[in-house]
Amino acid sequence: MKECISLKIDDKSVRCKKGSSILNAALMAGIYIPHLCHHPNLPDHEACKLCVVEMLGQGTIVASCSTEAENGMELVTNSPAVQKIRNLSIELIFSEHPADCTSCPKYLKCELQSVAQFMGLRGGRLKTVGKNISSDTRNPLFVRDMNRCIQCGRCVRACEEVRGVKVLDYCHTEDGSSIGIPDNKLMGEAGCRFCGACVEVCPTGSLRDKEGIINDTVPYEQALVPCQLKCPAHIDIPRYIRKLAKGEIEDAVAVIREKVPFPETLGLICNHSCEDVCRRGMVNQPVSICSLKRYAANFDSGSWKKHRIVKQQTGKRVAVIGAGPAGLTTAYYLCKQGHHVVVFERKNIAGGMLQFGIPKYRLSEDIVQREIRDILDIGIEIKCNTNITNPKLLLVEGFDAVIAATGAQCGSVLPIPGYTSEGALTAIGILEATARKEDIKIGKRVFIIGGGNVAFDCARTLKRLGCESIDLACLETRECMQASAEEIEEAFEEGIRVHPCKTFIRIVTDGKHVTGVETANVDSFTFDENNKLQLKITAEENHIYDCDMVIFAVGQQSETFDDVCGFTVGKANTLVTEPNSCQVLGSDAIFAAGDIITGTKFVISAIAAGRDAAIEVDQFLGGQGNIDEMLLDRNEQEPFIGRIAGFDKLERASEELLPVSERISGFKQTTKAYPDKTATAEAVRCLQCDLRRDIEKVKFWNSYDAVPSEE
Amino acid sequence: MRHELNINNAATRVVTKKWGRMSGNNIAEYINLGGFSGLEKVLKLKPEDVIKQIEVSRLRGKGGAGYPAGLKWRCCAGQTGEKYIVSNFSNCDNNNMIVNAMIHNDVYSAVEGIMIAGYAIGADSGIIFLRNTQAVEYNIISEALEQMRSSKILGKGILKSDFQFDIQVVMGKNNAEKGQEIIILRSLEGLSPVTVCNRPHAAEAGLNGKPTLYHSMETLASVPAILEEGYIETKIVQLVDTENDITLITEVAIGSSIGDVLERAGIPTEGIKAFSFGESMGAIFPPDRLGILLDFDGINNAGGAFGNAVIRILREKECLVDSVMHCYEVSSVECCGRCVFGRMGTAQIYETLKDITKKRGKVDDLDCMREIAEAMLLVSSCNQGKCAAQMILSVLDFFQNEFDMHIRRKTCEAQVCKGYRSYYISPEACDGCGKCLAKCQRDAIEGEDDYIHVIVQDMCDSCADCVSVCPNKAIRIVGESTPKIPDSPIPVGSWKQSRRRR
Repeated sequence: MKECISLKIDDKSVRCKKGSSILNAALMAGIYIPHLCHHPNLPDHEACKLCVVEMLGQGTIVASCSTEAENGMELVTNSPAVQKIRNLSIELIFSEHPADCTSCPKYLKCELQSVAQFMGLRGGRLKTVGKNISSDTRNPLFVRDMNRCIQCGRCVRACEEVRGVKVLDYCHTEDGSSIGIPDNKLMGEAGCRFCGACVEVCPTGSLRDKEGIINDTVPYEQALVPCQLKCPAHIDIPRYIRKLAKGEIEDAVAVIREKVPFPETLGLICNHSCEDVCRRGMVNQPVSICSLKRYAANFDSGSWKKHRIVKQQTGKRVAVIGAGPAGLTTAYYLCKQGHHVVVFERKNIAGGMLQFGIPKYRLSEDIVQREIRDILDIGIEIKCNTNITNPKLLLVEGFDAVIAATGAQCGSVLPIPGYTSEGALTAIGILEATARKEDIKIGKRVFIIGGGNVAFDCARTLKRLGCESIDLACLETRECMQASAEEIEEAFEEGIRVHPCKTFIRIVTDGKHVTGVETANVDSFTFDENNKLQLKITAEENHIYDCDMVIFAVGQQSETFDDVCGFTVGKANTLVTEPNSCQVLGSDAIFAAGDIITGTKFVISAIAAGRDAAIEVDQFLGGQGNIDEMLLDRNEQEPFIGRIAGFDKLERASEELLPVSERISGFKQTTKAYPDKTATAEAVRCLQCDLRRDIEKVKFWNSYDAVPSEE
Repeated sequence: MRHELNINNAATRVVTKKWGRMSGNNIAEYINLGGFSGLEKVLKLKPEDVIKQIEVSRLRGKGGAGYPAGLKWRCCAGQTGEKYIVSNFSNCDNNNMIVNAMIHNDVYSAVEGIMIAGYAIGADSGIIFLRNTQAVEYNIISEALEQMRSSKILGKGILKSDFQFDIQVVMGKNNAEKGQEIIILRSLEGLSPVTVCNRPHAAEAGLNGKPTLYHSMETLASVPAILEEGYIETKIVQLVDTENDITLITEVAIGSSIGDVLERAGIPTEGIKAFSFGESMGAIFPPDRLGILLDFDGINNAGGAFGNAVIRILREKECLVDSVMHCYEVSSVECCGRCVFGRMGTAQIYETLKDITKKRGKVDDLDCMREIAEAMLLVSSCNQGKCAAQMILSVLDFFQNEFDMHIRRKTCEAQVCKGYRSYYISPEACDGCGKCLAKCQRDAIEGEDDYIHVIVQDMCDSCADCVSVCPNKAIRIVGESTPKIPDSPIPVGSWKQSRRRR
């Protein structure tokens, strides 16, 4: 326990801990002393001399940032001698700083501008020392506008002493001293880890994020970590990746599970939109956030369960209709809030699309059912083989709230001539039949209409079931196809022929059975104001693809509940809810989550929707609606990250693909998880954008209670 | 490279005793001249006794601050654990040749000093620091150390005793590493060469946090002499008299006056307009201050920089404003950059002086420079900043009239500052050859073949390129009186006619 001392600043009594600097003692007491090179997270270096104070009686002037406060000291912050030095300092700084504030991106957020405003003083009296250095935009993510540098040294201290990377330094050439990178190297070359600490501490507009990098429509703290912001469930991505870089895999699993209950599932099939906004992608390639999640999930020993809390029983009963990812997630969080949850599932086992839609070569049944067990184990009751067509009846039976999470399970079709012929099926139907291991009559030549993931799932499934000729065609161009690039590439390798830019005229039959599909080539297409498709067809002749099976993979619809419920239904039979709510329109106590509201989306959206519904329903039932949990200790983030050789050139690792022959001979998982070394190396690539949040924001003068008075 | 040494009886040969008596650094010759006898003596004494001798001698650091060496040695000796000796064998100023002269003429004395110090404080490791411009000296020192190792005077079992000591030579990385203890230690630690505040004393926690004895080369070179009879305190100084083309290095007893030093070195003291002590880190004095005593307090209190012992004589043909401006050109570029006042203070003074030499000086400029310099004295983060401030303050104090001439009377009496020089083409001498017009890069000369050429004053920036190409030496500097010249080019020979007509 450090001893407390007391001193007088401007005749005010101030107490502080022994060892504190005079400046810190003043600032913590709410007394403002102008400063620029001082920063709460950095060691003080006495560069700007703005913080000078006078020792009463002795007339000595010291810089308050680097002078230790001593018991009984008496100081004035605004004597004429001090004012002189302080004014001169600002004038000297402005003598080499561009005069025009308004054209600077840091306008109104600039600490130099704030201090100058406080002091009522700028340049003009002294000679201008011109610099004329052009902005350096060669580096990814950051701009170095050295014309605006005031050489306060904060960036050097942050990089060297806080982060331990030592990229920025005082450089000395025949033109004098400046702050930059020795030998004028690019940041990456010099070992920069792009953590952004230098940008965060720069008081002027000298070191900045490149325009458009920080999303200014959301709170700054969130914008700093784009991956977490983009993730619909807001998983703390940098944190779990950091754990993996250190080899703390169980901890990584715990971090993931703090937000989502399906880590391995997501690691295998998530659409990882987080990787699209990953800042590492602007250095070379994004971090393989998804593959790393899969790697971690493999080591899930369940140790996180020790910290899992199920709150006291509330006595409330909640019914969830549908045991897919949305339903199970909402059931999980509501059960943890202490409510009694019963899940009603129409099919014979839980899982929804995870079990019956996603092919087993992408997501095995073992994994799905294991993760579902971890959910149900906390005391959720599940009734399979139970079809609920009228949610309102459940309320009558005594449930206090009902959540409909039945998804979008009905495959849509294109109502072109011949669409009801024998052999014209839906992709969803094929996929479910395969999941049930039913005997499917596969055609010799299959034609799949659709370009999304479901179409490819179906194509590749049929390949594994023995179909030899598979053609897949869709409206979109190759680049705009909805399926992911990896999917399409793997499908190519497996021998599936892909035909983009096609429209479908009719299905040719022999009177009963499908024999072919007539297509025309599409030049371009748009959707008009009424969402109707407007096509421009080329002048080429139509083509008929021979086939004995046509599969529609053109979207899915939800099933409606009984009309007597009176639910309002939208496009594709989605349920309409109250604005900004999960509550079904006009229905007290009935809520919905997942595809049934939004139409088909990726799994992570369903999981996030499950969380949102749980929050709202918990509040509806009288709870706080707080489903946050801590599955591991919150240690303070280490600001020191050190150097890593060749950091900016570390390439993204891809998961190993099984050889094609092995893939199509059965339903084995197509990709292998990273080996340990690869996973660690991949995790190390992360820029750790979240560390920037830990850097304190400097307060401007108007946040302090007492400012030195005019003399 | 040999430096002229004033070898007559007037020079006091203590540290430089062996200069000129060896062919370069030759260990056998050094030993013949009595070298390493100091070390031999010391190895038979107790370390405590050695420290006492240093204390009694009242040796002070010759690097500039004049800190009592004995105090440092005693403090280091009192620490435990690993210790270092770090010696600065570099010149703090590009014009200062003293250190390199020491290295070329007798590096062993300083090395012997390092080892004696090592024995006394209990260190077994020494580091010699050089600037990145001293590649030649690096080789000389390395070779000398090798010779010592072969002769078993370095390494283990030195001179057949239990004492072991070795020395490493390190070259710095850039031109900011000059003579400052903190900067050199940081550089050796791999940190940026800038000064920092609140670093503990080197004797307690220096290089890598270990007790470090830091001395300049000259201080250590004095140590062997202290152990001999008849030691007196001396300083090696460099004397520069550009007008008389004299540059020499001599050793003088501390306590002599500067006037005495000059006379003994044969430099005429009449006609001295000003003299500086310490180059860009020191101050400039008028001739009536030649009585300043050459010792730490005398020089440092007067504003000079004792550690940069270069005495520069300025005579009539040199302009003080121009000289000072060049000093600030150097100090503004070589400043470490860490504090606003050091960096921007010297830059402001430099810009202001530049303007004055270009005839753009204003009356306020002098007060402004004084204000900045006084602030630098108060709050500069290191001594270099304070020294830089001294220079302009001394010039403002002693040579106000030079500034007045430049600013108010728009004249540079020494005719050095280009801004004050106007050139004209003598109409009598010009033969219209056109060579000057061809040479002029500013299009400031008008004329045609066989026409008297005329300089357009508005365009001319006095670069004087044309002066040297004129075969008739017709281009001259405008002196006290305005010359009579034509307004625009007229045929050659017609000027005399027009004058006759008058």
